[in-house]
Amino acid sequence: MLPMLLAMLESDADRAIFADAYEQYHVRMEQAALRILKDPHDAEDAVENAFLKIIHSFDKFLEISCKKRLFWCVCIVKNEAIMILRKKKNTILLESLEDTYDAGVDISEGISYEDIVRLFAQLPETYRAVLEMKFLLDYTGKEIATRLHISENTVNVRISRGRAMLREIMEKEDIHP
Amino acid sequence: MTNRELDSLMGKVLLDAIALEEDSSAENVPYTASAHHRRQMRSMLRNPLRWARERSKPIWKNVAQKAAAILLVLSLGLGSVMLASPTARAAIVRWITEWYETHIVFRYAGEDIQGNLPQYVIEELPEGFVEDWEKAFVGSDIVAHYYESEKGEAMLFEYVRMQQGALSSVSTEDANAVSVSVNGCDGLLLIPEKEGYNSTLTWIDPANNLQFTIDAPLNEQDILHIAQSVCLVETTK
Repeated sequence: MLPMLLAMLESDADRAIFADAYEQYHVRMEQAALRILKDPHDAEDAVENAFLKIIHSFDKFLEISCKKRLFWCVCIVKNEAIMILRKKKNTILLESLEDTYDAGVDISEGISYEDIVRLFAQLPETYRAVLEMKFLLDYTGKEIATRLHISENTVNVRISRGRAMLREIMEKEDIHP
Repeated sequence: MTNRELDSLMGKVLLDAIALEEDSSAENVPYTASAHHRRQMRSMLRNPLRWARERSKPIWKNVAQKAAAILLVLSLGLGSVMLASPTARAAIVRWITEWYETHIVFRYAGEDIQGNLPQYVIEELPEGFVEDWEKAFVGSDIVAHYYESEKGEAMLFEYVRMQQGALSSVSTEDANAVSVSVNGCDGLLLIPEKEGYNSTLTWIDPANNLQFTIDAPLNEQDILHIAQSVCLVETTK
């Protein structure tokens, strides 16, 4: 599977797109990693790991509209940074707090698509990381659990809550994407 | 709304959430890329696939490949050597150096040597490198030591016994070969043409029937310096 995906980057055209993406996005990616990790050496690791992921998922990269590619790259580097952070720090306390986080939302008043986006932007970082890894980066539950050092059950609970929250809002407000 | 539509929408919402966050983030952390990171990125841009393949492999595998290759060829007998190279049959020499397009092979002929290999160490390790003892290999005809820096750079030091039927090889791909001398012994230094790759230094000590090799992320002067600091710890009894 991997060699086939990598083959996408063998043409000069693909390489040019990749080089262009690097030029355009690397500063924002570095900044995103630095904000999370605070340490330049760790941030560089996160950026390098992120580019490795981009190369491996270059077909997915090409599927994303040009306007949103930067944010997909930032998503990757943020999650690589979170992984590094979790490896280095004992985050058990944070984990237990997150598990008590109430992902429910009061939707008694009207809510727009922009409100939903704001709501998801406010989710705790590692809670969001699970959803991003699942829905943007196509990791399996097991892969997410390994990368974030949490149980697969916790991963599944967060994915279910995220889905349930979004479905509830969309159905009650009759919002269509 | 189907589950598939919901998942697709979730992806859109999450991507827009990142965009919202990015657009509202005013914090700019002062940062200058390290030399190591700049090398990595240059190497990545030159050839993304090659860089990805190299990086996907555990570092110790990259450097240990050479040790594994030497181990493999050490198991070949004299007959194999003669079949592979008729010149070995005719020449009464201690070793033959064969140059190929991508690698150099050293073939040895002479006596079978018994007993343990003497122990050698690098007295002056490059700054920041420490040995990973779990990856060391000590065999009857080959010893390999693996070192790693805090930055994750890898270095390999190995030596093999030159004896009947043994051979070893070093890769010359994308490297320039230069003849050198290490403590009076003839050697060959392979300097990578591209940044981000290790230099390889190999030299033959005929007095002790040993071939030494160091593979390290060092320039010509530094790798020669550490090679000259290799010294005997304990001789066999």
